[in-house]
Amino acid sequence: MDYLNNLASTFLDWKVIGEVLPSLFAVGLPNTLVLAVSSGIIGTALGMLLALMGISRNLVARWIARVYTDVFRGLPAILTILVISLGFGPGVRDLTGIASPYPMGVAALSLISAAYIGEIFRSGIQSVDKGQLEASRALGFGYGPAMRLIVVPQGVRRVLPALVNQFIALIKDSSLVFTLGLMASERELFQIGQDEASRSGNLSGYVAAGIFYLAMTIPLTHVVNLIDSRLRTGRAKNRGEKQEPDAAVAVVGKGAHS
Amino acid sequence: MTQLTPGSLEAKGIHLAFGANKVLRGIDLHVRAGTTTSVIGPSGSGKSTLLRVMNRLIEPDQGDLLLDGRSVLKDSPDELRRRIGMVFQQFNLFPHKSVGENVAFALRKLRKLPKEQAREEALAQLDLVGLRHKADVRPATLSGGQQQRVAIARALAMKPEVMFFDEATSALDPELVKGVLALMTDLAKGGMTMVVVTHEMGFSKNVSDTVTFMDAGVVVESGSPDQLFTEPRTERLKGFLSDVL
Repeated sequence: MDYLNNLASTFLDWKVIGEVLPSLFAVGLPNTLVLAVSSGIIGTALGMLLALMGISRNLVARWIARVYTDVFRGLPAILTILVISLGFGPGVRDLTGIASPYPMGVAALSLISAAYIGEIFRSGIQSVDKGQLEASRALGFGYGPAMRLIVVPQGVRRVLPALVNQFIALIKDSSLVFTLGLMASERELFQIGQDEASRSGNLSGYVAAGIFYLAMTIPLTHVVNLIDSRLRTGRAKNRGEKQEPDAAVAVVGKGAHS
Repeated sequence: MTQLTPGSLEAKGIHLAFGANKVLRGIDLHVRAGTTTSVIGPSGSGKSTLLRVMNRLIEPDQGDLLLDGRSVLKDSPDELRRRIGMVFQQFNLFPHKSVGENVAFALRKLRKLPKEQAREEALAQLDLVGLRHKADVRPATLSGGQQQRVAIARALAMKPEVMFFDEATSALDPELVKGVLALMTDLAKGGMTMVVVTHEMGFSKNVSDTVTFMDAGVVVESGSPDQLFTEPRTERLKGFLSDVL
């Protein structure tokens, strides 16, 4: 039983956890949220741009999207964060006078997640039946409006679960900005756990931070599953809608959730 | 059945090739205002492609296109398509929108009608195809025949001058074909200008004013239904008719 006791005292020292909780709440959580949410929003916007470039008829646009995706998806996240922050950070600091590496961390996380999100959007948009674009165009919508109003919304719905996976990854990857040497007030969850670990010589601080990560990521998964099933079946009020017999067969057959 | 402003449609010397594959080789087609032309022919003869060229979903390599006697090849293709309704084999309804919104959507976005008015017009249009009571459900809960009627309502709501039907009943179960054909017949009798690509020989024989037989990218024969079905002049049409009838 020594083994279990050892495990408990190393990772579940309640006293250590109790001590680190306040700063996880007051400092770590807001910082992690700011990092993840802001880079999530920027990454989503950039990702959509990349997806549209990736399927555009313009060869140059396609090529740029391809290279961007290959590079940012292929490099270890920590390397990108270091290059962006330490490589471009000083230049940005001279230009804007902002000394904090924090915005550069957000920029790096955004650029990385855009590469993944762009591929997610692209696969979703390309999975929409070509007849949707054709029907929209036949009604008189131009290519841009047809994509924006009809095709892209359908594509995005299909990839919501994958998109949330990416947001979860982003929440966790936001911990990598610890490499940037942030000020005490800028520390995110993971770094606070780490600082506590080096202060107390006990790993329970990490566990405490881990609980915060789970508290964010698990509800996110379930919320999106709920939204996803609602989008598939139509609005909640239509769920009881009786189907015509042959429609029920059609639903089993093809395009059931399209 | 609905207020129509039918126009005439004319295709002159239409050529189209995809690479080395010559899909249309000098097509001439004249559809007078208020008449129905059926386009028949074997698979791969270019019928569906011709429809797509005539509303410029695909731009022709050569030839001219006239709507109401005026060339429209230099117009904005989006403007042209608003004047030509199109119904597809696979319906292509918007699955994420309600039936009512499927019809109202283009009215709001393209004809810029206020939401309420677009909804009113959509409901009126759905009424004409007998599906007003389905306005609030998703298309997937409808039968194929009902979906196709919604698709027809969606096209008619734009008040087109010409309607294209691209094998509109080919994807339907046999028992659902009748309802859609009846609606198309009503439209034709009501004076709509229609170009109907179809394998329904009964429809082309009984409803259309002109039947055009295409094969391998050319119009082989064209004339009244009587003429084509009872006295086919070419071996190709004779062969085709003996295969399908």
